[in-house]
Amino acid sequence: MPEPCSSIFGSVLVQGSINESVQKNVLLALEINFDYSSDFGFSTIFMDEVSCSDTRLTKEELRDVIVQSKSLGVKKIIFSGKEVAFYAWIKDLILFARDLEIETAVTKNDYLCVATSGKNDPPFCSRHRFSCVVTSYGYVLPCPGLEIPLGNVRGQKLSDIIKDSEVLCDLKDYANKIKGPCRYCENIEICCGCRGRAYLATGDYLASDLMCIKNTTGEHETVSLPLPVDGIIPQKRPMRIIDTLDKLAERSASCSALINNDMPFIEEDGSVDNVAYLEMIAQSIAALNGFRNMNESGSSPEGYLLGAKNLAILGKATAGDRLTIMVFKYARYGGFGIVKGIVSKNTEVLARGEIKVWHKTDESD
Amino acid sequence: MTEQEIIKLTNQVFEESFEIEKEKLKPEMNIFQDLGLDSLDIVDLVVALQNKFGVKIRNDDRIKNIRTLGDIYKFVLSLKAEGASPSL
Repeated sequence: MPEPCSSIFGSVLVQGSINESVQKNVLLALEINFDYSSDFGFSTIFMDEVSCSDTRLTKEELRDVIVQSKSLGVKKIIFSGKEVAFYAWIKDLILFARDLEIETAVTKNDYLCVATSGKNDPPFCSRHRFSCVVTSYGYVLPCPGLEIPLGNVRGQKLSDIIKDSEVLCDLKDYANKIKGPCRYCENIEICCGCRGRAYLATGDYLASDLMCIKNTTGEHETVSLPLPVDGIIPQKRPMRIIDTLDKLAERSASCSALINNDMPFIEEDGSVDNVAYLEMIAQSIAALNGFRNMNESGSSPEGYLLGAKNLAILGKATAGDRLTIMVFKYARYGGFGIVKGIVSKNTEVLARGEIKVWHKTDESD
Repeated sequence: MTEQEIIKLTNQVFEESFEIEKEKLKPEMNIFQDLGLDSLDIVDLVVALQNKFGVKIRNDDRIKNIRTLGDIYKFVLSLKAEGASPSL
């Protein structure tokens, strides 16, 4: 069966080795792409605290990426992008990789993700199961179409980025996680639709690929972001403060809340009590978990807010304000986790802080 | 990194993250009964150790067996010896 999108990696791809790479959490191939900008917007807002991502990786840093990828099992590296030709030292990196017995190739962009195009053939692509992209600014992407940075090699090891990524974990568990017609498609074992097209069209990297020619009913069965959070978080009005889940990224989400007069956290002067910001952060992380869990139970896993720290109140919201809440799963151990959150009104940050949460896991049963 | 450096940095974690006095930080101290940590503090301890030593600590059975400060010194020593990232 042809794999037009994955074929860039050529002979290193054998279905058996792909399955093995998924099981062992290793990589078979890596793409180093020089065309992406350093700006991924909301997706990197928490990541940029640890990585200096406004400059391109140096030759030495890329050599380190190659060494790390070798230890992860990479057999082939593609240097891609129109700008790759501008770097004379790419030749040195190619020789360096070959000395490590890694096959190499140089190519312009092999992939163009156009969500507004008409119906396309099934992509027969599974490259996110065995490969990833490192951009010249150090961001690691699951594939060239799915522009969700998983981490940055400047602040993290490549192996840690891959092991910790919830996006990759979901994509590798495609048979259980993909939503809608792609999940029931006869080609599910070799194709789960173009994840990049699905993400661009719906905001959900696990949605069905609406552009695939085989997907004739998908538009009716596909949920898109922004999505009302009723049903994916346990809180009901008036305790439910947030309204919609707007954006997804690696272990992070962005939600919206319109402050109503009947909200229980409204003070007599019409301002919002500071404790409401913590509740907004807690509800936003519940929305992220609930959305990821939609296929299984349709709701957020059982969880509790345990406490907060490093809370900084920098401004005030009042009734009628529309707020944005961005959350990031900073750390977890067992069922316990630390979530960072930022609440803002337009571009003004009103509050930032960390909450400690517990949620039910297999380990805590 | 020497054993003494690991002890010094681990003690700093307890002073900075849990505000425990230096005098109490002895290897035989039970981190729950003597130093006052509880199960909710473990995720904070893991994050603080990761940041202090530049290692990645994932769910690891060895953490469940930690009782004393000395156990933590040994755990960090073993992580450093392994080159960190011990398990998935």
